[in-house]
Amino acid sequence: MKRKTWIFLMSTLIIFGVVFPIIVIFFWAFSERWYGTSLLPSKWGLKWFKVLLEGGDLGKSIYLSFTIAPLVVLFSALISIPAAYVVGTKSFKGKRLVENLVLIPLIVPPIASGIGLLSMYTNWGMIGSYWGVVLVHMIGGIPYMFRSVAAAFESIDPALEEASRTLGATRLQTMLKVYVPLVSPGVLAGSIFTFAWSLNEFVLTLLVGLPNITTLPVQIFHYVGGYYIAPAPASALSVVLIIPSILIVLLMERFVKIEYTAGAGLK
Amino acid sequence: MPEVVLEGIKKIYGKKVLASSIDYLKIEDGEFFVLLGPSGCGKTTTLRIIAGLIKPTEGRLYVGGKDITDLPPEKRNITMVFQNFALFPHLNVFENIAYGLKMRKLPKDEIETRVKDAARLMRIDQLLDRKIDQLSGGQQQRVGVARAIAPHPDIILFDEPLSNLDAKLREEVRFELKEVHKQIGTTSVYVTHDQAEAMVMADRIAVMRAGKIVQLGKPKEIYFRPKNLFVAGFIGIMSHLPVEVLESDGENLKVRLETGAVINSRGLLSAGEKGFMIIRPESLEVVSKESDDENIVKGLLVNSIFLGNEVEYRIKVGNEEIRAKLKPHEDKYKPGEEVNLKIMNSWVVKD
Repeated sequence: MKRKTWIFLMSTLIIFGVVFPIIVIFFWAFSERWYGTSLLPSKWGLKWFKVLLEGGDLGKSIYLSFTIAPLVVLFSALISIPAAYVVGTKSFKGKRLVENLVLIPLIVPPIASGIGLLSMYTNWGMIGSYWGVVLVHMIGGIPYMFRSVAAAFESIDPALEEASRTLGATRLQTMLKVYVPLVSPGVLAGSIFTFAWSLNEFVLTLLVGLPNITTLPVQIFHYVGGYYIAPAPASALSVVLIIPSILIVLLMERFVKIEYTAGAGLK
Repeated sequence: MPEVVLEGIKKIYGKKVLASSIDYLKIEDGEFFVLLGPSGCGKTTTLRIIAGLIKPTEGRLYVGGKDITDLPPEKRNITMVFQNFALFPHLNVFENIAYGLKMRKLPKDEIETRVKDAARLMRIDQLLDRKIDQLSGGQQQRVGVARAIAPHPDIILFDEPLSNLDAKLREEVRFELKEVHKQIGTTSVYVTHDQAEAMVMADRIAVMRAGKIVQLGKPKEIYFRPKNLFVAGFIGIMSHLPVEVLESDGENLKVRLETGAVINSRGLLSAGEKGFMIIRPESLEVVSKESDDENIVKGLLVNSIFLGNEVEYRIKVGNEEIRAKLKPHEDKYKPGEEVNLKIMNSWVVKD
């Protein structure tokens, strides 16, 4: 097979698995009447969005999702940046261990760690608490933030700090003039990934957040996972969730160098 | 501009690794001083101690009579040129050169003048708006030097600045740096493992080994009067033959080779001592067998290698093999032939 065939196969899979479902969701969300037998909805409209707004759940879910995500980004950054500085620029005993430890949240299935967290949270009386969910999201978000920022620090030539110092810059000035500008793309990439992670997180939020903390993914699940299946309102809600994700992808394309995003993922 | 004095400087890593140990070294005002040695000899450690990037375990460092041992690098007014250039990738050429000037809070027009002067000196004044990744290696290092010159430091340190450039470019930039030093006259300390580089540029060379200075002197002195075999072997090509000193009169020696031949040589040994006679390949001549000159050694031509502008002979004398360089028109002998070598110039060391 030609090399292009593989690229074609891969692209087809992605389109089939991601792009088609998104189109279907948009159809459902903007349809008022759609019978299974026809290819397209027979009546278009914003009915389901009105239903969501009237129900009052939507406002609350949007509020929760879009305040929790920035807080998760902020706190993950505060913890990860200094840690990433040390791992990215210094060599010390146990460095590999730390690097692998940070990967654990990406590998352990959330449903498994979630069950454990559920019983811990129950003991501490943190079930259904807003900050409890923020904390749970941070555990998953930190690997993304840390890896991106550590990769950014690693890519900085240590001689730059020495050059800066011999040219008359203090330690603090060197931080501000050399490290900050060189690391900020990594922080931005990490923030985007962490934000997206928090926005999409479902399993852990469902387990430790109920009944109060119904973020968007949890709310969507209520529509399809409850007593009856209601794809239309669930789709309308999904549209609300998808739009920021699409914006994020566009943002990344525009501002972030690819090597930092590689650092965030599984390098 | 001030001189640099290192007094009892020692850097010890862990319990016993001696990275640098210098009892006393004075680098004169305006001098181009080269620290030369193989990797791991402590030359870079010594340079970094002067820069303030490494704290010495012991000893004091003076610049212009002022003790600067405890000053952080940013307060020393000593700049540095790095092996891997270490240019700031987020700044363009102008901003890189201006970095040290901005840190000194100079007025804007002064910064502009100084950046342009330094850039002109390094012949990169056409590149000021370029990004760093748009420059070739040679251009990058010119920016590195301009950045170090612009703040008018007391001392400029060079940490193997040419070793990341290809051979041809290295030779070109070598001369350029020497010229620039002549113009600005800033005291310079230059670290290299390349003896040719050291020869071209240095006013004085310190040859280092295992953290210590083995020999200190002008390039010619180190080449013609090496202190020991290590220095002789590190600077240029040499062959050596074991000898015994028969007579010693000042520096003039009469020595006997293991083959029995008696040769007039020079060195600092006294009669009765044993040592090694160092012979540079260019100070040998192959003479006809009938010659009754002095200083003749018999040898067996083992191999001859044609190098274009010269021919290298490998000649076996006793159990040792020595190298001689001849002009192509003198190449009249074949491997396997016995030849008479005239030693025109040699130097005897103890070890």
